[in-house]
Amino acid sequence: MFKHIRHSIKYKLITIQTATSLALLLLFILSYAVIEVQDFRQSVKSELNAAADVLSHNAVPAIIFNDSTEAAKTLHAMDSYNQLLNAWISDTTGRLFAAYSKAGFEQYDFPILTGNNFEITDESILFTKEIKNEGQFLGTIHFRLDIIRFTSLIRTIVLMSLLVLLAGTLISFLIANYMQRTISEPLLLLANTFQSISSTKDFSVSMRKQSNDEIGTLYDGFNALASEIRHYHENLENLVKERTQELEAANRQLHNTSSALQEINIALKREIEERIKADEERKASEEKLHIILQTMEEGVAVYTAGKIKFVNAAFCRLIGYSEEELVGKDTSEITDQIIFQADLEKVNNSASDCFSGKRIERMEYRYVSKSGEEVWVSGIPAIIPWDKGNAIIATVVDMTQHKKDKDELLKAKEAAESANKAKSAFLANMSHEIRTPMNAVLGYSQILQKDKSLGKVQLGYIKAINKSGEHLLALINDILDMSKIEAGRIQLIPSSFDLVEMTEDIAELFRMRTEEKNLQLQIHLDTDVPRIISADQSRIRQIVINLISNAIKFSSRGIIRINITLKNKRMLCLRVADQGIGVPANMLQRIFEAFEQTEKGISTEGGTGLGLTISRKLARLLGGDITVTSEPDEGSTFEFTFGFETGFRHELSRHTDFKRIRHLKDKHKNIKVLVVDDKPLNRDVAKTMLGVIGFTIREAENGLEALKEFETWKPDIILLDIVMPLMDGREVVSRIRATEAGQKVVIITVSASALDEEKAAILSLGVNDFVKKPFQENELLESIGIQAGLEYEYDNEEEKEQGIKENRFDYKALVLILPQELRAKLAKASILGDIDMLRHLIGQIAETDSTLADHLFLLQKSFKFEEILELLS
Amino acid sequence: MLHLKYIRNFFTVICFLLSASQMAAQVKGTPENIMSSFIYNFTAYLTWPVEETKAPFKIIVLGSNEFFQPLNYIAGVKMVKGRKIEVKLITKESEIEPCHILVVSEDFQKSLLTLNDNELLHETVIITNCLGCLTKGASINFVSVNEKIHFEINKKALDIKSIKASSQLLKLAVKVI
Repeated sequence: MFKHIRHSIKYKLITIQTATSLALLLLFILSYAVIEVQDFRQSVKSELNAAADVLSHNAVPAIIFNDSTEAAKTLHAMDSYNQLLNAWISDTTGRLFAAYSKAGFEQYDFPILTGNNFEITDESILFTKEIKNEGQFLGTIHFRLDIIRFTSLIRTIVLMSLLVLLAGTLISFLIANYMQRTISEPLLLLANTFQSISSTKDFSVSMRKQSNDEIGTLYDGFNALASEIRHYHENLENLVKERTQELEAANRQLHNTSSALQEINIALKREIEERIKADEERKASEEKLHIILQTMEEGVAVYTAGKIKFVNAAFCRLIGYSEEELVGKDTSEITDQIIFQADLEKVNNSASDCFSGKRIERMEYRYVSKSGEEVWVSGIPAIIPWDKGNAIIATVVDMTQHKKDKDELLKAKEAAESANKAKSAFLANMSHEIRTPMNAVLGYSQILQKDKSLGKVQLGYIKAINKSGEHLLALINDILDMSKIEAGRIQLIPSSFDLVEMTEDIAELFRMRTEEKNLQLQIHLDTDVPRIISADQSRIRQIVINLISNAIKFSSRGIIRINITLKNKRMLCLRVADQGIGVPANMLQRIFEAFEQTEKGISTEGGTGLGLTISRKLARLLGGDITVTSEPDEGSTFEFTFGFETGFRHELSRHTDFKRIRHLKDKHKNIKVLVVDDKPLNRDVAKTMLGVIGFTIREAENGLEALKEFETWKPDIILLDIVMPLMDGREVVSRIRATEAGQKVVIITVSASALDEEKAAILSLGVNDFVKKPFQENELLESIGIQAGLEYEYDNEEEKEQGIKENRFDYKALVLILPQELRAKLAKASILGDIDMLRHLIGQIAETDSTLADHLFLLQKSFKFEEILELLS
Repeated sequence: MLHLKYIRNFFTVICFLLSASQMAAQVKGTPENIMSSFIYNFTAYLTWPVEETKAPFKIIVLGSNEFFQPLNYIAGVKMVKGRKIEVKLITKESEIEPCHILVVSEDFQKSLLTLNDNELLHETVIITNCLGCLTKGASINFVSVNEKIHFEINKKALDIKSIKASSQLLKLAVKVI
């Protein structure tokens, strides 16, 4: 049957119509049943509601007056209600108040319900309703009805439904069977026509339209479709031909594309092979790199902020950990473990800086090896790409042995420096100890030279003593200079000076000696050489004197040329070229070494052998150098270079002409000078020198005595030695300056200390000036005059002339100790009026007796040749 | 003592407000409390000849304070046919005044005859609680049957005073004369 339903429109139409009718019938029956049941419920409920109202009204007095018997009687009024099985009243507390049961239904438990209910159960129908009096709740009345009335109603409904359903289905089937023909027959005809066209392929068939409904429209559609298919069939062949041609063209294009793809494929294959090869080469390169890293001496570690990524064998050896103990571990944990605690912050900071892109310099730090030993390394971190991020590669070199060596070297250096300092201290002390007695030697010799009572021979001895003393002092000064240079304690004191004037002064100094040896001294300055420069004049002067002195010393003929040129904007070059004995090639460098002289130098001139050494060291301190070129027996050229700054004329130091101080200008002024020195001879020298000038002198042997004298005698000037027993000069200065009176007193320290820094330290105590022992008379007096604001009377030329007359005997005595040959030359030059010769000879005398030389120079300058002759007579 | 009495009366009133029957059935109130609630319920089934709608419904208790307390509380919470209830306690016959209900305690049962003749009580329902008082002139008298409180009605006395009792009330009375 279902097969028919699936294939036949006829059966489908019958089924649809019958099923629709059946569904409508069912819906109707269901509605009918529901309405009937609902109607039954409403009917029964209304009946029971009315009965409950009547009973409640009648039962209210009984309930109010608590009379259950009367209430039960009221319930008996329901006896005539056939279906009622039980009726009962419960009070407000839910307890049974009164009850009624139909005969045969007394065995019932009378359940107590609340509220208004209507309920149909399987066994009975239950109804309850509240009893109220004037709105006040008094109890609940209950009814229980027999279910039989309800069940019979249901049976009736079911029976009726079945009958209606059966009849309705039959009628519907018959009607559907009749009606379907009007639809199915034309459709069947159409279907047969389709089958015919399908088998015969004859699209010329046409259907005759029987009605104007949808089937008629379908017939029209069929006829139109058949016509269209006919037409379409005719065009189809042409279309197939066109499509075949297009397909062939597409096929050719496909073929071409395939060829192109094949070529691309080959190219890709080649590229893949190249990439594989490149990958293999990269792997090989990585292996090589790995081998290099593992075999290199330097330790290499690569780490990110999170993990240690790589360590090489050298790194593991360095700190004693295995690769497995480090690689893959937490970076901060390992860092804390292997970096020396004190260096941890430094290393972490450099790592942070490195990650932030800053350039990190090589640094030294310590690891702690697994065995707990400190390992010094020098490392430099750098950032490298690693696993799509950045990592730090740290390359470290074991510096432990180097550190040890360096420490030992440092200790050795410190020891050497300590020894050097000790040597310097020794030399300084020795210098002090020698200069102190030298002060007495030179001081007394100067004083004695003025003594008119001395005979010629004695005066000659005194001069010899003075000359020897000065030579000794020069030697000590040389040694001290060497000591200071070696100790790096030379302090340069730049000042503005006239370079030309300085050179001419030096040349003038040596003119007499050069003339004596028949040498010519020529000075040449380039035009671009600045005249006023700023540099340490005394040191430059010292070097130039040394070089010219050497040139004269080792030359017996020819010309000594002094050339001054500008080497660059801040460097001058002074060349001293002679035509002397020269220096052998093997000695060219040695002559700059201390105590080294050529054999000829030793044999001919003697000396300390320190001059050139000191000069070169000083030249280097001045920013330049001294070099030498020489040919034996042809001469030598010494080139002295030194740095300079531009000088200023107004800063030029004034050179006062040497004038001998005669006495204080104000002869009546009582100037009190306290001489403080632990050496009686030194006190005596100062006392003698100052007493002649007109000062009132008192002496103190040590600091304590000095303080007493200061308080009681109140001196104007104090000449203070520094190194003294009981209380030294420094303490004396601080105590005196601490008092009110001590603010005004002039304190001049007179010390044998020759170190510049010591001089500065003493000046910083608050003293007015510092005079170095052994002092020149004028040096001391000038210092006192400047600091105390005193004026002196000097020997002017007229007075000097007068003095010459008055003191002729004196100068005669000095002249007498000159060599006979020199005296003869001097006399000859004076007779001839040969000024040049006279100057040359006076220069010679100046080397041994400056006093006489000064006197002779004044006479020569004033063209007083007769006076010279008189002295010589 | 006064305090305990107050509590008890209050409890009685609450029970009364729930239901008279409930109170009678469940609450072990004093007989006076139950009778008081009955007295209030009688007003629904009795009809006085003259019913003034605005004047208070007056109940006088003669002699016994036991009735006064519960009735006074009922008067505070209930009304009779829309009228306020006024309850008064007197201890002397001379204090009697016109009222709807006069509750006479056992102390004054001897005075029943005189009270019946009192002109002031010609429309008053006299309620007693003593054996045989119904025949002595009481309109309604409380009796105890099987330990339950019931009442009996003197219909004649009510008829004389033109006071009508409903059939339902008469039906509930254990005795009607």
